[in-house]
Amino acid sequence: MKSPYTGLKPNRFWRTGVSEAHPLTVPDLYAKKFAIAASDKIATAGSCFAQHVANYLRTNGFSVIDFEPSPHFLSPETAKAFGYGIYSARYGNIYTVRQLLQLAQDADSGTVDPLNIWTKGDRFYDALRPNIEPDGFDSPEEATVLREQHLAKVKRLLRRMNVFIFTLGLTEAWVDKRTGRVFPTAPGTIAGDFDPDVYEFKNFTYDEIYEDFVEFRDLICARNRELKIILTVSPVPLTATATDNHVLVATTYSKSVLRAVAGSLADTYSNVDYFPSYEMIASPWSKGFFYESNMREVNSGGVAAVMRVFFDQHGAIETPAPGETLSEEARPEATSERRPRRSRERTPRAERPRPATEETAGERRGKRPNKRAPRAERQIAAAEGAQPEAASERRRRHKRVPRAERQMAAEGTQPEAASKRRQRRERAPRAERLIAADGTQPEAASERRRKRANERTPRAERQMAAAEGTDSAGERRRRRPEERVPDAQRQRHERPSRAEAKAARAEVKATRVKGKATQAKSKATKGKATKSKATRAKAKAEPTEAKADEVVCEDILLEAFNT
Amino acid sequence: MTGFSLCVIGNSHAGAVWQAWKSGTIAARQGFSMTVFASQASSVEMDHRDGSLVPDDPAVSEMFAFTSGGKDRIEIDKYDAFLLVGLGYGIDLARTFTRCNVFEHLAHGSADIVVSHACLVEIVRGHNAKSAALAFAGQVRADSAAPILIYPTPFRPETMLSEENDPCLSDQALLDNIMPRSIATVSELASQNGCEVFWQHPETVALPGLTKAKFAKGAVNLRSSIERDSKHVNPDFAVLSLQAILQRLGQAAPESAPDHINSHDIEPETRARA
Repeated sequence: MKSPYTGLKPNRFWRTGVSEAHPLTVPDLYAKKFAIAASDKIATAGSCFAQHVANYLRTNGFSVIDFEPSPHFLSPETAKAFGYGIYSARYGNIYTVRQLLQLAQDADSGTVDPLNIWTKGDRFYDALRPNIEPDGFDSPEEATVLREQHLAKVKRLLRRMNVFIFTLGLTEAWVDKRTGRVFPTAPGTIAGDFDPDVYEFKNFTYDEIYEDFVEFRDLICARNRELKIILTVSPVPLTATATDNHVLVATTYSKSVLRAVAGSLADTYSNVDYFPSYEMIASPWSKGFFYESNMREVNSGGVAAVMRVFFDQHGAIETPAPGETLSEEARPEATSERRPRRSRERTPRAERPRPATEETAGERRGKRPNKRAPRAERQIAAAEGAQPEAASERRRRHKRVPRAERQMAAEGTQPEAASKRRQRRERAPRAERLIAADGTQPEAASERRRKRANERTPRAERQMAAAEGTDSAGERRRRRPEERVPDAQRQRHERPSRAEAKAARAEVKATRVKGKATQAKSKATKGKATKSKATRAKAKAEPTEAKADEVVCEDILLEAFNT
Repeated sequence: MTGFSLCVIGNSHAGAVWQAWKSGTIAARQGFSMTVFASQASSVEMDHRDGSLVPDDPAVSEMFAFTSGGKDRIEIDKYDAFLLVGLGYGIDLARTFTRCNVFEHLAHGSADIVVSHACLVEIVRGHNAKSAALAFAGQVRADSAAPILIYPTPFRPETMLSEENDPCLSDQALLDNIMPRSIATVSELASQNGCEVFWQHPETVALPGLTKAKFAKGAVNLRSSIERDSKHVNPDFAVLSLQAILQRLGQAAPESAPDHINSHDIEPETRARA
């Protein structure tokens, strides 16, 4: 009997793929559709879960761009309260695909609708991103002008990004009946007044969401043809529903529709990938371990587990230049578009605006084009009379393609999963391998060392012997006395001519230099290992911040739905 | 007995304070002695050890010794009050506008970083939160409950308008909006750090955030008198500020105490006579 399930990979079966798998081992859960290069400019947007993605990407050396960075002197907390540094522009949370489409359309046309300014007391709020000014704007003019500025930045962002990571959050939204505009929060929560004649509730369907996304994709890709999109679905359940259903039923509907749309889009378009963060957190597999006690907020362990799977496929980029791309974007605008101003006073260096992620002097030095080869290498090159390698050539040689990509290129296959690689690397203990090799009991290490010590002749003697091409002193010692050469002869033999001695010294020197080069190389490798250790430690620390983000997110949603 | 002992810690703006004190035109100065620790250095850091503040930088130590008459450290418990002069505390809109703009700027041309008024006020607050003045205040407060007053960096002289070419610096409506909020925020910040800000005398203010030109004439810093100076003010300005500060402190000062700067400048017998 033959079944179509015969011979399938273990991850195709629930028992081997899920029941018997630990949620932290994550075997073969996700295979990337396309690679993210170190030079790719990544933009993030979506519901609050997307904030974590951006944090982790930055920490792991990806170039996450920010077209509206925080002004200097705002503390990180204040900057966040003003919507800076959360996403790639100051658009706040984008919960629905319709909201995303609207933003892209507005950015394209520069449209600012005065109807979208809400009030609260004597303050004014941008209804399409009401959370970005904690106390609102002073005037409708200020709100309008700042939105125009924001849209201009978003327009540039949408054209310049290479990878767009979007987290789909909700299907439920509130719509202005007059204009068809959807809002991230219900009117009357953060600002504005809820008027049932003006606003209505909308629960988007599969078709609507799918079509909205296709429209968004077409709009963006028309001007940004190489764009790659990664979709995720937020595993954070609804705080409240405006439907007549139980919130659990409403959540399941919402997430199911979003998940289905994301999957369908990824199946249809080659530049759209789906990353299964939702499955990792929300499925029975994780047994709810990745949720906080309210079973809604995702805990730091959950975010870390999700991102581990992401980096397992996309790898952490070794060249830490997240701020570099940012500054590339920010600097030309800052210089060319600013109003010309005569200023006699230069801002002190320490106070000048800088990219969000700052490069250390050491890192800058490392990037300089005149970076020299290590001394030992230069000495070898000089000794061998070789032409020194050009700096550009060295840089090219050092810049390695991520392992998974190299593997793919070589084999024309999908890269091997990290877990498999680890498994493959797991070597049997040395002693066992020795037994296996020759069927004997292994020799104790101390015994081997002792043997080696006895067998070896002193270093100077070995060098001399090498230079002269004669017997080693050890061999000479081992000869029987009757075989020994007479003393006078030996002396002649042992004392080389000046030229010979010089040649021997030169060779010894060359050997030492080579040795030094090897040491330097191994030191450099160790340094890399320490760096990656530090990166992992940093990534471990990140979840604390991530947890705080979740709490903020919770508050926002509570406000949004507490009508 | 040296009366009410006031310790002045400052940067170049302490020059005007020093000269104002020495000029003898401050009526309220009776009963006070003043010791000045000032340095031109743009960033001053001090170690806090054994109840004293000791500059990290030998050049600052040297300046401290020069301005205080030989003291290279500030012994905190020797003083009844502290006056922090300048030290990065204050509101300098011209400087803030070099880092970011408000929407009013767009009426005069393009701008890259445009922030809301509310955000601008937070930026001003953030700048002051990182000032040396608050760092010293914290160090002093760790050892002393004495009043700590802040004499903020004077507003830039109105003469600077012609040099800066920024129309928003003279936009009355904008300044009326931003300045009172900034002043309230910066005062609140000082209060949260156990300090009190003495804003410049209303008589010296041309527009919100700008000092009248006449107070920039003959401006002094620590070392010299400068005819055209877009940052400093003259001793007449400092006289007005010191009057208010000393009156505030005067409630605690003995009436017949000496009035001199740097008590060690005066021989003990002179002090006794005083």
